[in-house]
Amino acid sequence: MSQPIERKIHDFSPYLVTARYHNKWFPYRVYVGYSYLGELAVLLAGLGLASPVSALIARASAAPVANSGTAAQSIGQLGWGAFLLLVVWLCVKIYVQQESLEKRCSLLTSYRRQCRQIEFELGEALRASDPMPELIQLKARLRDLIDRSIAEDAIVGVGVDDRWSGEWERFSSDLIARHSANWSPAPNTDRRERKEGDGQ
Amino acid sequence: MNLPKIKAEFILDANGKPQGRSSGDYKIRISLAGAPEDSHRVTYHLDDSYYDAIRDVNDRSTGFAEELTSYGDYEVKASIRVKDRAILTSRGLADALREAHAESTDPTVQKALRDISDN
Repeated sequence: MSQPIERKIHDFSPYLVTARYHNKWFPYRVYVGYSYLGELAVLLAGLGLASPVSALIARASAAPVANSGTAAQSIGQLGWGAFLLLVVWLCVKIYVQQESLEKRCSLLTSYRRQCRQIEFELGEALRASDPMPELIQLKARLRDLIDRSIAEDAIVGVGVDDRWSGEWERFSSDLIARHSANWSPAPNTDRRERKEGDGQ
Repeated sequence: MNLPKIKAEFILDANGKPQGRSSGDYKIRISLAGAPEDSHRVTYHLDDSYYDAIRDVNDRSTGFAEELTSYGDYEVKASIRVKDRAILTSRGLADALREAHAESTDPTVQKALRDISDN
């Protein structure tokens, strides 16, 4: 049975190995940075970073007209940096919303987690003398997962990136080397012989 | 929209004769014509008597071709996956083979067609 099983393993590998690297997708990194920096901004505001800035702005608003130029200069030194950050922040926020990155990245994280689970179950299934029935079920699960993720734009392309082809070849070879001794010999033909009384 | 069509042909040897009869089965190549541009995978559902009855093919350049052996006729089903949906189609294996070899007068091909149709 080794050849059909080996072929089945090669069906899994590109998806499972590529899934490990989906976190290198640029929008995913933008979203992760956006989330963490958002949390950090809230934390800093909570620690009191916001109050000196607002105090400075309040002083500038209350300053006499004659001093307004100096006050504006003070705001300029500190404020322009903050203003620039705010503009960058807004641009990233618009990008995240337009690209639905919150939803897509959450689905991508889930996709990677489920692929890891399937990878684990694949290793377990290959311990059997005839792993084919289990492999067919696992492949159906992976297929559904991929199809849903493609439809939701959660994964890039079709879930396979040729840059990792060397690694998925090694992944397949490693699984075959580790488990092939467990497998029964391959059938002579891929279709079982008819039995007496079969319809065909 | 035209539904994609399953095609099938005997794999012939250098003399133009169907391969595989000595093992009891004929070697056959199935493929898909008219798959949408954005289709990325075809899953063939073969007869339950196959050891591996569900075959995924990702290679569009070959027309999502898959090789198998068979001694008889059955309904081949294909699920063609495009971005946001799956297209289902099916066809009798013997019917697809007859169409592919309609021009052939080779007696071995004619016999193979009869064998597949009769089983």
